[in-house]
Amino acid sequence: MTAGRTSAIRRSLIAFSAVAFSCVQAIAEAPTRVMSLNLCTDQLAMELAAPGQLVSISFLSRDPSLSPMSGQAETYPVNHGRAEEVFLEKPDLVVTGTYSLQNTTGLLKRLGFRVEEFSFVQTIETIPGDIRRMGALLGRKPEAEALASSFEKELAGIEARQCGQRPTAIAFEQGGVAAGSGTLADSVLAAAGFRNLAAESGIVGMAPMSIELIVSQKPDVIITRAGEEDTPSLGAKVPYHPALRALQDTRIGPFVPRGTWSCGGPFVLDAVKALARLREEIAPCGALQ
Amino acid sequence: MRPVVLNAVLCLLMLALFLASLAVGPAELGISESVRGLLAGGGEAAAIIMREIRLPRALLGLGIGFTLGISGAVLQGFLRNPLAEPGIVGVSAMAAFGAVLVFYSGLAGSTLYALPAGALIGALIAVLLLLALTARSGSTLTLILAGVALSSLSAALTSLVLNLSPNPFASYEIIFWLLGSLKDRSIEHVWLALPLTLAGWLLIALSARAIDALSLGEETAASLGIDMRRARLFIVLGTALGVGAATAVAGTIGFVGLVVPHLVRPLTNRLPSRLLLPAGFAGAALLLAADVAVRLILPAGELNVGVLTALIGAPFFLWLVIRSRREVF
Amino acid sequence: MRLEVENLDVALSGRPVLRGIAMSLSPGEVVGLLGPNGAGKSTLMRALAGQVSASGSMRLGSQDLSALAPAARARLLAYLPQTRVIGWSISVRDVVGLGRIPWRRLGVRPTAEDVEIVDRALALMDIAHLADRPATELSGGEQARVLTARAVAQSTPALIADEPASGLDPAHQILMMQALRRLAAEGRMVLVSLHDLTLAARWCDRVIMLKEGRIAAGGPPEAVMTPECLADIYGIAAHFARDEGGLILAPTGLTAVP
Repeated sequence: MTAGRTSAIRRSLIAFSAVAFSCVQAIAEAPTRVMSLNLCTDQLAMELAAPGQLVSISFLSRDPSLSPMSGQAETYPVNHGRAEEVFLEKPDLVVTGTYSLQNTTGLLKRLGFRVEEFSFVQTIETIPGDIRRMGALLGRKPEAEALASSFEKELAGIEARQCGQRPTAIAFEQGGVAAGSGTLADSVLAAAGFRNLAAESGIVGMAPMSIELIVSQKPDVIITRAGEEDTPSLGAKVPYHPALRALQDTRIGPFVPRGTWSCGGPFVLDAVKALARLREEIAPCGALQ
Repeated sequence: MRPVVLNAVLCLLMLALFLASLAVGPAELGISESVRGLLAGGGEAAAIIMREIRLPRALLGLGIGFTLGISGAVLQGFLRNPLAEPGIVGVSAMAAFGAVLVFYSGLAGSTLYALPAGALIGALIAVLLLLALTARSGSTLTLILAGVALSSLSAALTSLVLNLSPNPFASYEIIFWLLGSLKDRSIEHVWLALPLTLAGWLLIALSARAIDALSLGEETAASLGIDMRRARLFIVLGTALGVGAATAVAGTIGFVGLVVPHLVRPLTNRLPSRLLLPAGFAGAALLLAADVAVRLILPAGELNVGVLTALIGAPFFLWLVIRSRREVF
Repeated sequence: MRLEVENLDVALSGRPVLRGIAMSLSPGEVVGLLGPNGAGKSTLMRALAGQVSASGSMRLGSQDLSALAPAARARLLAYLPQTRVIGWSISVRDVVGLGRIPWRRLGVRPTAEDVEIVDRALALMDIAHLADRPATELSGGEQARVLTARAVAQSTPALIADEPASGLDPAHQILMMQALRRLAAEGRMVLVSLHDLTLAARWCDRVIMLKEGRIAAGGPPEAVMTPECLADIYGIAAHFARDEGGLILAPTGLTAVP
């Protein structure tokens, strides 16, 4: 590209962003045109936004294997997280994840868009905070407060039903990657009353765990990712390796509903509930007394 | 070295490395525990680890290494070219592309049988293309350039298919297909590859006289009563079956078929047929050794075994090119 | 047992190359096949060896050569192509041993008989002292004799050699022709194509002259190799001489633009 063309483009971008920026200034408190560029912020935004407030969400939200809200996502226009799409849409607020589109985010900020980032290194404890933050950003504080507190209450209820029976589990993802300590899955397992063997074996974050180690530790449950039946991959077959299936007392399966624990949002409760039911089935608390 | 002695030595080396492969893994099992697990079976962790994880892995290392070694030897003999090798001439890469295309497109559901079927077709097309290209001028240059083109094209297409896959995690598997691995394979993969591999070995063995006669050129070979069309068919099918099956379960593992015949040839009388069996044993030994090494070097993440064979093989290949530069260019 | 060829036609990619060839070979004979480049000498030899398809009759004794399986044919007729290829640095003995392929079953070790035949072929071609050397390291003349020994080890009643003397120095040319004579003396029939007229005249019992795909002349060298014939077939004039070993021919110029 020639220098002349580059600078011409830059000039028009600056002119464009000036328009966009002045829009943001004009609208003060509650934004009217919100764009979400990340699967996880999509969920929070769809839950909390007022009708018409959310103008576009990421395309991933329509993928039923990733998103528990894929049905609802069909009613929104989608974006692919590209800066150009944001310019065309002229939103007064962009919400996205910290690690997802760093280049885009940086560019948008330089050009004067209001960008709010959500960290998704999170655990179940950070979720109510994220709900409240999204509510504040969207000018929907009461709705967010209601959602967050019901989340906290339900979670507390489930945790209260825990007992000394703590079966062991491993959340085993595509390609032999296990959820170790510090992950959302780790905190979900704890909330549902499971011991996470991956974390206990010293795995931090999402990291490979060898099948041999899993076999020698004989977990009660191996939780695989749901919704992979229709799109083949080799990695999806790893959690169903014959060595793991040979463990007679180990249950293997997608015990967590699709997409419910890939993002820290209200849906995580569905994952906790499903796992708590499973825990109750494997190791009923009544048996202890 | 006398052929019997050479074969015995290489076979013992292969068996020793087979046992080493059985002994290495992240679960720390003692020797007696491993042996008991392997022989006794049952639901104990040691038995499952030995029988369902390490045995298939060692068997695949042996079978695939043998296939790569013998395929390299037969291709070199057939094309009368010391640089021929399933990896370099693009057969493995095409097999990987075939497997990827059929499996990830979901055409055959998510059954594992899609892998060898696709790999076989890919390998077959590659060998036929190479034969067509080298029929006119059998020069090394043509062969290598065709191989380079075929390899890069199929590697690019493999990446493309994986990137286009509706499964968001498929693109992480590019590295497996391009660099090969025996990690997390199971006895299912052994059954998947074994029949095809054995058929490939048989066809290659039946071509033994043909490749010997071919060392004096096609005309002489034909005058010695070799049915050239049959020989070509057997070698094409044998290589495609073997390399296709190997690639279908372990991805592209390069250079084994190149290095091994060169290491072993000086120990034989250099007749191409006499190279087949020792090259098979040595190929198995080399791949088993490389597969043990990747588990020891990086026990947690585990290196792809193709990385290691390329680290050994690529400099060797370069040395061969430099040595035969006058002929090549 | 005689080799009888009648009415042989060969076309290569639609173009007729040989037309109406009729010839015969008897045990004990060395027959020279002469003619300019492109006359069809190599094609005739390839047709006899079964490497190009031909119509007409080719019989060796009671056998119809064109009806035989490749392996059976290889036990009757050995063919030495013009281009010398030795692919790997195989020892001389092993190269010669390849001649035993038509006689051996897959996977069976060479028998004592095989070893003996190879030894005799080595001795016949006077290369026994080179037996353990890699054939690729030998001189061109030595390689030519090694490859001929390979054809000899095929133990066939007929041997067909396409220009075995080409590219050899005079001494090696004579060594080659002597060896072919020894083979004939063993009772084999030898058909050899040559470009050197003196070599043909002095070492062959008969010569067959090919011109444009047809046999132009045939018979003992003294009868066939006349100035008129050479002018007709090669378009050359030659100096003729004679000694106790036979004719000596030295081309001196062209009679017509070829």
